[in-house]
Amino acid sequence: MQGQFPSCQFFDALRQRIEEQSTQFEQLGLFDTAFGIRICNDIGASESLFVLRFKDYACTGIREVSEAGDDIDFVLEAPLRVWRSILGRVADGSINTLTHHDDPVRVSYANPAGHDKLFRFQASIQLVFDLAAEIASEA
Amino acid sequence: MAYYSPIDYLNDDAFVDRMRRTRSGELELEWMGANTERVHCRPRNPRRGMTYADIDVGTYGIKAIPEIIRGHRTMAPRGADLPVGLPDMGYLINRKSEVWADNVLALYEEAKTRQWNAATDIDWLGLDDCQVAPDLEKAFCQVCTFLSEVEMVATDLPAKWIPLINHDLVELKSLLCIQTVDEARHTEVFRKRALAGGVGLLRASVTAEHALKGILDSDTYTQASVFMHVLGEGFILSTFRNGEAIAQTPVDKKIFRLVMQDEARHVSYGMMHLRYFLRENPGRAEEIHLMLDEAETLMIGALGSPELAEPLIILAGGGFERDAIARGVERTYDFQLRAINEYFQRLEHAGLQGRPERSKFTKLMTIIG
Repeated sequence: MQGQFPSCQFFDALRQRIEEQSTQFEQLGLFDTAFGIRICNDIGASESLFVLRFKDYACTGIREVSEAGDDIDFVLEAPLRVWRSILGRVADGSINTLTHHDDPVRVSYANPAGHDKLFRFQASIQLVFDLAAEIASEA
Repeated sequence: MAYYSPIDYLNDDAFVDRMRRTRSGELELEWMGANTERVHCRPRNPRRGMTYADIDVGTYGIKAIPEIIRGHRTMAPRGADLPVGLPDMGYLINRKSEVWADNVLALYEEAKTRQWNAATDIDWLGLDDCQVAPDLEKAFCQVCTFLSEVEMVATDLPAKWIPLINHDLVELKSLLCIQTVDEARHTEVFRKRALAGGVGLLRASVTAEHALKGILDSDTYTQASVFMHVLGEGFILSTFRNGEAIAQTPVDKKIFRLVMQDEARHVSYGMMHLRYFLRENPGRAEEIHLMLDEAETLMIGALGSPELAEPLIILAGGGFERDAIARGVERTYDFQLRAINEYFQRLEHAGLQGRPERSKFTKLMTIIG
């Protein structure tokens, strides 16, 4: 049984699922980034933040942190109900579509070199969210 | 024939004698004594394989490239023994900071692993299952016409400069070679998409082509790179992101997702090249500003082109009705404003200060609101 998003059990299951799909990630290409998923309340204040780290073709760690460090390329921010609708496939669209107008998911970043990784690794990031949606549907 | 051998080898007794001796098995083996560094490189990470970073060592490494390459202008591999008599290949870029960026090695390895094939990685037959309103398909094909037109400049521009760059900068030349392939693939995929949906290509853009000419005719490589990689490709990257968001079919969404990845690498190189260039040549910032003063004018012409702006508005709004067009205008201008802000952010990150204050885009926003 997987935990519900955004629990540590959920992200452990996501990391496991990413590992199981290593061939697919390898086909998509090198994937070197660290990005955050921030869960906000309805007025935008941060409630929790998880950092996902990728190196080569694999996920090297997912953990909850209190603040995004300097090595985080970008953070995707949305209220819990939005994240749940995305992972439940209620909200229609890819990660690019959902972030394109910073609505319903906002992208924050410290420098544009980090922000550009959202686009350089778009297909791999989309696959991460597709796998997360699979897990959410099983929970 | 443009270049003649400095020696007529068949009439050179010493050369012919040596060939005869080699033929009889009498070898000189002088190359065995080449005075070069002995190294033993291995992949640090077997999953990545043997990367350029793994052989970035000693006299073969990036640090061995001087800012001004005075030693030779030949195709000899960096770190090799240089015998007397190597010809001057006529390189015009013999200064590292005029082309280099700190992310060249990483982007090259990344680019090789993220290649795709416009013929087979797109589900062309899947278009048969997609219902797209005829007018929206027509608008989409106009966007494809525009993109197929402009993307090839990012093949032509590096291809023009690669033979002029000193061979010591081989990793950078290799990265530019991959860019030429990336952009040929973009031209290909948008051309194929326009011809796959029952409409075909529509109208070319006069103003866009003036911008392309401006890129190709830039005075220096760095000016061309800032114009094309940072300004031009920065806006095209935003257009691809917007294209993915407004695409009517999963086939088209995948196309935009794939071209987006390539384009973002090119933008990233351009930004980091400008950063390297300004770090080494802080007094040359004004030269970049002056170039951008005109480049932005050309770019405004391209962005304002009805062959781009109008189909984007129709696709973003979802049709030709008044409400749809109003919605499309709002969404299209929102993404273009974001593109302008991201362009300013990239220039600032690269170390070019004060661009928003003198930018033509700032004036444009004041004029059109």
